[in-house]
Amino acid sequence: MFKAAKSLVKKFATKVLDLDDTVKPLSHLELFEDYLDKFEFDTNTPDVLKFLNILKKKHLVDDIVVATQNGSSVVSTNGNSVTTAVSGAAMFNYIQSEHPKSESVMIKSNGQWNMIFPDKDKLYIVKASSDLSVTEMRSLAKEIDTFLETRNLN
Amino acid sequence: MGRVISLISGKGGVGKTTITANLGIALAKRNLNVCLIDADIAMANLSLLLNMQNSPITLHDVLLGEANIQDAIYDGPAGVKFIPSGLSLENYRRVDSERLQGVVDSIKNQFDFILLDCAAGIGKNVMAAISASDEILLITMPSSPSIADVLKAKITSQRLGTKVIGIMINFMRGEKGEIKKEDVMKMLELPVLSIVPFDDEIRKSFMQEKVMPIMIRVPGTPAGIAIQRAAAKISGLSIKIEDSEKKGFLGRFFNRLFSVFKKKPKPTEAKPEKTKEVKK
Repeated sequence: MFKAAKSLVKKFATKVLDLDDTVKPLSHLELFEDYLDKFEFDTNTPDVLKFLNILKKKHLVDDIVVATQNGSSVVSTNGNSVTTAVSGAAMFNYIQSEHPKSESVMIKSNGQWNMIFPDKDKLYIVKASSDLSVTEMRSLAKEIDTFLETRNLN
Repeated sequence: MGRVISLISGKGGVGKTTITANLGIALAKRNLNVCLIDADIAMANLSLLLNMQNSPITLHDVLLGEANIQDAIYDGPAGVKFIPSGLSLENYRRVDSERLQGVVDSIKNQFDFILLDCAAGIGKNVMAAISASDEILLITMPSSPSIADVLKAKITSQRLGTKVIGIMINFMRGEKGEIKKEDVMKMLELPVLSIVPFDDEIRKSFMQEKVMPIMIRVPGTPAGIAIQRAAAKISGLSIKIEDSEKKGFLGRFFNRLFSVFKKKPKPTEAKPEKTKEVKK
């Protein structure tokens, strides 16, 4: 009871004497207001190239090439998709033959990460300045696969 | 199929573990089948709050492929089930958190709700938990550093394709400088499920002879009531709020007066017993 009375007196005094000298940080709120807009990505487009370029920004990667397991390019965001698809598939198949349970291949070269991730019957070859976890690669692959499937581009 | 919800915040120290434990117990008290998972693989401490730190088989063992998930499910307080994470740093280094999704999927049909207490930050372990979940509940404090981090947590969840269901604002003191509910809703473009006021009883949870969450010890405190409200919103069930504190002035006075002469009751103790029956 003493505690309750103490709390009541304290609240009353705070109100009357205006002891609460805190102020809402409005400049921070203004900063945050625009923050989410920068990360709003509308992937609802029929154009595959436009879609991949939006995904690049969404997943913070530099390049995406989707290839079949035998090295044919399906879609890509760069001009060297055929070369990347062939060399990516060859590299992954070699690693797979040495380590049959490989979940991904990650190579750091010239400060850039080159990542190869298999999902279903495709290989996702991704370049980025930082490495992606398997979880991130899987979600990227899932988005691309859903897009290709709904538009019969498989 | 149960709902898998991860509680994330970005920032540390906002009360994720406390809210996970109490929210889980609040749901379990409504006869829902609830499992709490300590998904903070590196800095696990949900087991400390539930007073179940001596569990022999943990999530670490399961993720290492050295134990079956069913052997890591323990009976917690109020009928809640609990999967602890190990406290060993050595095992943490070996654990592959990306296996979490498979583990969660394998027990999804045993429960109505699976709540994952995640680590701070948006690192690999947190992303694995987000990816293993159907929904995300964001926890924040009403201050700008916490809001900044929760914004990033929201973006990460969206990037991984997991739906964010809402926010809980914790440690609200009612000060003028606090970021208000309306501001939080506007900035995050999400509903606020509950505002948990700053409550000394929560702080005291870890300062008992037998550590126990407030939903067991004192469910009628302001924070306890706010958590029960969140449980009602999440489950979609209209619930009767347990309000042990709701007594008149005289009632409280005499209660306090008589309690001096009463022998202190022992708090309910949760034993880390192995679950024998697994409900399907």
